[in-house]
Amino acid sequence: MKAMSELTASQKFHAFANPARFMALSDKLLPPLGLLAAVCLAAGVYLSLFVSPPDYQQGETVRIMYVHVPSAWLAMFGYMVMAGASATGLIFRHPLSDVCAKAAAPAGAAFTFLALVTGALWGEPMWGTWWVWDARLTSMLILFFLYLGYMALWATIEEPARAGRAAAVLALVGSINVPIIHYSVEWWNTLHQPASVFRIGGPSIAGPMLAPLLVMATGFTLFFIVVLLVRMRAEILRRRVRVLRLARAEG
Amino acid sequence: MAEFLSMGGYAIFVWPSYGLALLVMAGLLVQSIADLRRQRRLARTLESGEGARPRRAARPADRRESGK
Repeated sequence: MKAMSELTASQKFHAFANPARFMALSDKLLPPLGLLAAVCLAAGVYLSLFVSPPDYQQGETVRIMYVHVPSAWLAMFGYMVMAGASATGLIFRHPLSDVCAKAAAPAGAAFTFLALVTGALWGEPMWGTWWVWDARLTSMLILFFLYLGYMALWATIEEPARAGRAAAVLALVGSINVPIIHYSVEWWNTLHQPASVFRIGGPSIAGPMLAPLLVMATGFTLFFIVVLLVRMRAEILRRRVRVLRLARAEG
Repeated sequence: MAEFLSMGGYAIFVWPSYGLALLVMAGLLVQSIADLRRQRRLARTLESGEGARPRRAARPADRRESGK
């Protein structure tokens, strides 16, 4: 009996050691990261709206690209974070994995939504249509629904460990969609243009347009990390609150 | 200024893109921080004892019961 209580105590310690370290570290990292994100976003908006020249084909609508492309990258990056954390959660049972995966989902969903809507706002004047059911657009819409399904699954199951495992399986099954999105413009005839930054032979975008895009993308990425850390902190505290409430209900 | 705002005739596509990005990102950040604050408050209340009930009064009673 005594041995068992010692075991649970050590397990408890093991489970809380890393989240405690994460809380201390993220507390220190958040202020400078937030500042850096704000600076990059301000510089990115300035470059996008005032410095970048209009494109010779797209005209002023090229400025939509400075929001659309980083959003689309973050939509994919968010899913990779979510699926990666889900995989480590299933394999190593690291206590922070589920927390990270769960925290990434709403941010990823928000950027997927932005990519879809800004894409439509660009598509109407340039393609002559808000939406087409082509491979790239459809696979991005599926990504959005995967995020929503993932969040719904978390919301349905009350016990965090069980919810985390079920959601992780869903995230991993859905990760097949990520390479499909990336290669959709090569595998199928789509209206969407092929990659012009992450391509063999280097970016094919002109310098004055590449700079605002990269600064904006850096700002978006830093913003994503800030939101991820804030949400992870909130999730760790939510679990602590849950444990404290259960302990109080029992004793 | 008017020329800048007109965005070469594409104002109704360019400005909503930036406006929506601002709205969605600000909303996400505000909601995330509000949730963090709420959870922190709840955790502190629970950790500092049984809410309104004073901590000292609860403890000896617990000990008496479990000591039996």
